[in-house]
Amino acid sequence: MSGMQVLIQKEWLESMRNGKWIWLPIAFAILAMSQPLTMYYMPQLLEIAGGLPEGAVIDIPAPSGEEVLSGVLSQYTFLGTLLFVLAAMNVIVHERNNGSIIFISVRPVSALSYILSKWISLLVLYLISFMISFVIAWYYTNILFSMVSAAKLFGSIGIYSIWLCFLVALVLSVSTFLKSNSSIAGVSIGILAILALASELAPVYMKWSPTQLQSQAVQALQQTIISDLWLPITVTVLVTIFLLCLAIWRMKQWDYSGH
Amino acid sequence: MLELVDISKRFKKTEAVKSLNMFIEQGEIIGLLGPNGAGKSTAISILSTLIEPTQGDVRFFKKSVIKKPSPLRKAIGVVPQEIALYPQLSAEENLLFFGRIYRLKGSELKKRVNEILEQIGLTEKRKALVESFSGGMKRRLNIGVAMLHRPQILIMDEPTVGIDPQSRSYILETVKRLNKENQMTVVYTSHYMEEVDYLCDRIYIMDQGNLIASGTKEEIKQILSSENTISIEADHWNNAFITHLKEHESINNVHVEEKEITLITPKEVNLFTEIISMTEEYDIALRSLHVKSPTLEDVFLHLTGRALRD
Repeated sequence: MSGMQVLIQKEWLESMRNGKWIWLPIAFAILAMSQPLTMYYMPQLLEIAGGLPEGAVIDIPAPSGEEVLSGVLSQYTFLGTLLFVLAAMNVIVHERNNGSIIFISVRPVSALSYILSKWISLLVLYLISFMISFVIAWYYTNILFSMVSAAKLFGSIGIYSIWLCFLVALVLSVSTFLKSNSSIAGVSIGILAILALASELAPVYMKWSPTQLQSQAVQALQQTIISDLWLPITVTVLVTIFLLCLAIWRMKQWDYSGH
Repeated sequence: MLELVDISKRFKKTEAVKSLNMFIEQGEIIGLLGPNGAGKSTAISILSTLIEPTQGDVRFFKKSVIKKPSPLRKAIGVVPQEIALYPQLSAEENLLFFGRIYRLKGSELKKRVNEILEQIGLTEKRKALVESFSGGMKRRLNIGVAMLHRPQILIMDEPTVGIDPQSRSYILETVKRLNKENQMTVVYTSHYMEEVDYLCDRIYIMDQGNLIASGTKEEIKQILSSENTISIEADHWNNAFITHLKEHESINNVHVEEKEITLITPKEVNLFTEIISMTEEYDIALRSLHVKSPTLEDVFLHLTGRALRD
């Protein structure tokens, strides 16, 4: 594990300088806030937009706080995942392409330290961005709709965090095989889309899938007891470990001479 | 000190290095010379333990380091061809990061960073972000990073590519000084013959994965000791003139550039007057004609039939 702490510090310093520590939390906060605010002001927004027949009355039943926060998680599923993949796609490839990986590889730094440092530094950034934004959404939901208990909130955050561990490991693993940002993003999103589609088309056979954790996080908001929770959690943890091992193995196969 | 023994490296269908033997003694500057694609970078990567050879052995003080590279890794500093720095960090932050990776700490690290900044002439720019640096400044910092842990051997892979003449000369002087003052062993690859000629004690010349010549500069120039180089300059050429030169029985090699033709001829043959009359015959406006002793560039031309930068 030599040098891991130094590598993590460098990752964070770089993320501060390139603004990732600023834009990612802000983007997530906007994404999360927009859900309770638009739902609350929906009648006024429709009225301003116009086009309704004379005398029409807009009567939208007020959703519960849990339903509003579930909507926030749905926003993360699409736009949030895209933002996460975009923010992670270049963390390895830019060091491979600019050659700084050579400076690191000829020093006493193991592939394990290198990959874990990338995973931890990204994961911390993502978890903080996600938690801040979700707590902000929870705050507005409590004010504008009904109160959601902190236990449900943190239960949901806990399950979603395991999904994020998998997401970061997936993008890093793909990054050790490919050398262009667009192909890394494309392949990562492609794998996630296939998993999500399979879960939609054959839910009975996909109960193990890491994508189930996103719906489990929604369930955690709406119910006290969540069904079939441990299978996807166990599989996701095992797949995450496998992806990190794959990335470490792949890094050891890299060719540094440009062939 | 460091040896490559019968090294070959194959990448799928390409054999990048073929049966290469090389030895490096303490305190010398070794030049590894060859055009692009000669196999220099692959040889350097094997020497730096970054890739394993398909065949052969790398020995450091007579011990194989292919499976256990750490003794050699501690002893080497590698300057890669690319600018291997973090552009969003300052010069000082880059040095501190790489120093920490090499387990330098506290006051020792700070002292070493100051020394390096002084040696590479970037003390005034220590707080500036690398992205604001010129190409030459980045190259100097690249070298500084490789020297942080006081390596015994500095391996430099074309460290002067794409920089201005002033920075290039600064880098060459720095390498020379490091070798003289600190007895640092240097392995220097380049396709600039004059850099290798200026810096190196011994030279290995590679082409298409093969080692085609090795020895001291004098030994290598001896390859052409019985030959002369004739350089002809003119504003333009015509094909008939070039064909005539190529078919001439006393001319061993003809290399044509835009305004210069280089010929290699046996010393005992005097072609001076013959060439002048040929230029008149083919209506070529001759600008100059020189007969000179062979350079390393001429040796390369003689051995491969191509110029280094072809």
